[in-house]
Amino acid sequence: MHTMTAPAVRLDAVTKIYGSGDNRVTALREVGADLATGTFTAIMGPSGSGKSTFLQCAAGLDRPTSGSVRLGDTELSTLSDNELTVVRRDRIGFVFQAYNLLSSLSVEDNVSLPLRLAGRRIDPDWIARVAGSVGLGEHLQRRPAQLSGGQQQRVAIARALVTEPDAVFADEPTGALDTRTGRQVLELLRRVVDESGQTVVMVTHDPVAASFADRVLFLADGRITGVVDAPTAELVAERMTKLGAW
Amino acid sequence: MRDIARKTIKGRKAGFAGAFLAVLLASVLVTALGVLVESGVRGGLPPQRYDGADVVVGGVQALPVVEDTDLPLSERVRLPAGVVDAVAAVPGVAEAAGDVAVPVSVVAGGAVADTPRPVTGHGWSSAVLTPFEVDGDGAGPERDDEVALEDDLASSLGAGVGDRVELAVGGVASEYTVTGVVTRPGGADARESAVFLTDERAGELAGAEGRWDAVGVVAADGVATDDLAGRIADAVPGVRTYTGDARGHVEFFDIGRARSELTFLALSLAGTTVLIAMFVVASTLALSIQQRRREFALLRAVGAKRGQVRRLVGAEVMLLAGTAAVLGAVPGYLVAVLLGRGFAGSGLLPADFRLAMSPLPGLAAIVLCLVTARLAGWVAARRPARLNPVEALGESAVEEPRLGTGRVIAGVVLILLGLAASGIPMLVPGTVAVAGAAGGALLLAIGVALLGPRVLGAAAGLLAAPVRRLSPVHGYLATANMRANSRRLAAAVTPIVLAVAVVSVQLFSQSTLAAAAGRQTVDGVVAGHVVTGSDGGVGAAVTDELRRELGDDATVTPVVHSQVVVRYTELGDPAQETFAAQGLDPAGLERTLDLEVRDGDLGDLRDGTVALSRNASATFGASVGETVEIVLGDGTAIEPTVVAVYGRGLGFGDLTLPHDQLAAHTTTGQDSWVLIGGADAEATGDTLARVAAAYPGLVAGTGAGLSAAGSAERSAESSTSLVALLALLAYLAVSVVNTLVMATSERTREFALLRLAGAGRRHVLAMMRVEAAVIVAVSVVVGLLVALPPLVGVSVGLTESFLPSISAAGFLGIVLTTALLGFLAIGVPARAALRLRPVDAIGLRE
Repeated sequence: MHTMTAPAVRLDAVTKIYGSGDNRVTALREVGADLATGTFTAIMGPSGSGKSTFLQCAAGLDRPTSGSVRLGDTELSTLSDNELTVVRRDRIGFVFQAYNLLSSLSVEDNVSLPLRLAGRRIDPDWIARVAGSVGLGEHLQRRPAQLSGGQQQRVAIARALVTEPDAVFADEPTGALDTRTGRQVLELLRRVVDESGQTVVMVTHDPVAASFADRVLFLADGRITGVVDAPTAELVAERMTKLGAW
Repeated sequence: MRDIARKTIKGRKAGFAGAFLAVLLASVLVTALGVLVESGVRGGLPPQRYDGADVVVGGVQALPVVEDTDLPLSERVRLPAGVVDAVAAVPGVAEAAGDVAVPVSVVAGGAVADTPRPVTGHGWSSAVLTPFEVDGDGAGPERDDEVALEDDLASSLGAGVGDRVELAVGGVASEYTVTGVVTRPGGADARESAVFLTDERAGELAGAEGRWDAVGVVAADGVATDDLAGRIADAVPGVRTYTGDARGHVEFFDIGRARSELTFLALSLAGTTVLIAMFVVASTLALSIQQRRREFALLRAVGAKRGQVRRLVGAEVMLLAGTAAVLGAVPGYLVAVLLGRGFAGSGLLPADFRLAMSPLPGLAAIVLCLVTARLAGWVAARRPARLNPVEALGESAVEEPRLGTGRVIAGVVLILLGLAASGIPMLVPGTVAVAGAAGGALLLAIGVALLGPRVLGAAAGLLAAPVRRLSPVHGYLATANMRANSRRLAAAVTPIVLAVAVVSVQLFSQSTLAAAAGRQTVDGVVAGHVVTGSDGGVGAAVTDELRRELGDDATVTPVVHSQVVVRYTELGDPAQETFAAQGLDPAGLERTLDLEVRDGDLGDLRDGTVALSRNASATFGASVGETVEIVLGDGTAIEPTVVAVYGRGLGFGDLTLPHDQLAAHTTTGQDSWVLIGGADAEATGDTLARVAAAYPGLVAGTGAGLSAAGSAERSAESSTSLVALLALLAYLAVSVVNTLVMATSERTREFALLRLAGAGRRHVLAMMRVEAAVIVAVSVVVGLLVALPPLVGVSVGLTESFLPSISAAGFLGIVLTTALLGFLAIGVPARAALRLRPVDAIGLRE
């Protein structure tokens, strides 16, 4: 367990409302949370609980209707679209459930994509090191279609890490993988936190996946309804049953 | 970005193939049209008979038009007799000789003899311009009944010095004594055989009255031709000088006319083509970008700014378009040659017309394609740049259901404008109104394209019930699909609708025009008999003799045709345009020709007056009693008063002038028809046969034969515009196939899913057949509906009838071609997609 330092991400009274009039849907209701630097947090909740919206707001993919989202010292909720894009590019890493990669680019090009978009010089040694750290050192010139699903997720993780971001956000990163491969991806994320002191935030609905985190936040109906520190799969599963049918 | 763009294109060749093809073909077409435009300016034929002249001086053969290409005059603008001396007096001129040309027929045994090449008569002094040399002990003609023959003609006639030959102009034959046989250097591929008469005799036969067609100049030794040409132009007013290959423009009068028609046709076609190419390239790009939605969302999520996405799309488009445009320019020259041959076949161009080939059209096409692609790319990039990065998180690729408000408004406005344009002819007659109605088709088609998804959603909804009844399982799937993916469907149907609409309007305005003109000719020719000439026309002597022979019982009406330029005010601006004119003598006209007079009296037609067709009267804004500014074919300006307005302008010409006045201002002065009516038909027939026999080359026929001849001429005209359209049609067809193939191949996963859910190959194919049938039906119906308002407008404007004539063959052709293209373009890629094992296909990443 890491000592709690200044939070990497802080959400304060975040409300997100989609649509207007009769189609109004409130996805988040005044949610507040601190995600500490160098920790691994899992977000759980039933469908429609607001966990994806939580991730989108926290990761600067979307802006909250009201409230504040801070990444380190930066207030995200008031940034323009371009400023938000730059924050995502330089300070946030993403791993999605599927379709993480540009199919026409090689592993190397996919990993270096955020650097390229930032117009930064690309150091091949650094790319090789990042790729090596996720176990893809030999596959740099391959295309995504030539890789297995687990390998593709590793490329996505390497891309997320290449800018040495303040936080990595993962949306159901094992959702499309079999148990064994999924487990390897989760171990990799855990290692990133333990060895490099990265901050990882992951949305999942799988108790086993959540058990790799330091802390689990439970969301229901747009509110945080519970927190479990040092979770085990059994503990999470039990908590889930209490929250109702998923 | 450029680097990513390059790799993206390399990585997804298949996805870009459609857009690549669209740009490539646009480049082919624009290059080809560019070559034709350039040929209209510079092409033609190098001089043959004027090859020995350093400078050729000709009349001003065109009316200058402010800010536009000059309007060519239809008859030879001759030079006054004094020009030869004036030119000869310019320092540096060694020799100056005037030339006139007159087409002649060689007569043997009372009939026109076949000659290896067309024969033209000239004055002997122009022989030096080639130069022709006299063989052996022969000599040039010195008396009015002497002639020198070019060697090939002499040998084909077996005529030598001292022999007699008979030559006819406009059917009137005379005998000449051969004084010599002449040879030109390298004359084997010459266009014509020359015969030389005395200058006076040649001028008389040509109707030139002492004037010259052109004056050829041989420069003194050591004088630069371009300097000399400049000095001549300065010294002699009212002439144009030509050097180099341009001398051919003066020598071959028909080529001069063909050039300006070619320029006009190619330019107008190029305009439509660029518009359509832009539309096709833009919609193909939009489709390929739509298919890569998730990719752009991912880019946005990992940190690509909107501007970067736009630049990425821009870089992709420029790379793609640059390569495609360069590759397309090369075959473009080949297509130009093919189009040139097509035009030669349809009679627009002389068979020996040489296209001007320079790198310019290719370069212009490349630039134009790049600009077009850049614009299209800019439009296409707006959507992915606006994409919400959150979409990268989602799992399904659901298309946006709503159309942008701007798009809907633009679509509705365009449709309203198109309908308004189509309706103009119902309110005001005239050429502009008809052109407006035809232009309405493009507005309507693009408007419908913008509203495509809505229109199609509605059409699919209408068709859903009957299709399901016919084919419960496949029909259900197909209609459900179409309603859910109306945007994709719209991308597939839009080019077909555009194609069907454009083709229908072009084809059926032609057939409406042809039918109306044909009807007017048939109804208008009252005369029982008609005399026409086989070469060029009918000489005035023939009319005189017919009048003498037939007496007062019959009306003999010679009709001369020409084209005149009319200056008028169009929508407040000065305009000048070329119109067909006929010259005739109104005396006893009711027995030969019925122009269907609406207002005024044709009997008042004399020098200083003119009769106008209804359409011309409306276009010029001139009614009976008002005046019209006319420039006759040879450049003479007149301002006659309108005495009558008639209905049958399509069949006989928009202006009718007094016969002698118009004939005096044509190149040959000959009549194209002589109509005979009123007398006892049988007796007239006998007289005609007798007279015709005395005039070699004349053909005596009936009024019905004249109408048939007119319809042949019109079908040549419409085949010219068909050749021009063909290029555009091929382009549209390819783009239709292109979009359908693109839209079908992206559904590999969907097919796999259906098959995993228990549908056999057969079922999927059956479903696609139902879809193809609905697509074809919807496009043809919508396309025809789009074409209908403009066609009704054109019909009202041209023929005062609401019913356009739609040829059954044209209609069937459109329906069958669309069906064939649709079924093939959907069926073939669907089959290819089904060849993959469904388990593999379902795992395919987008």
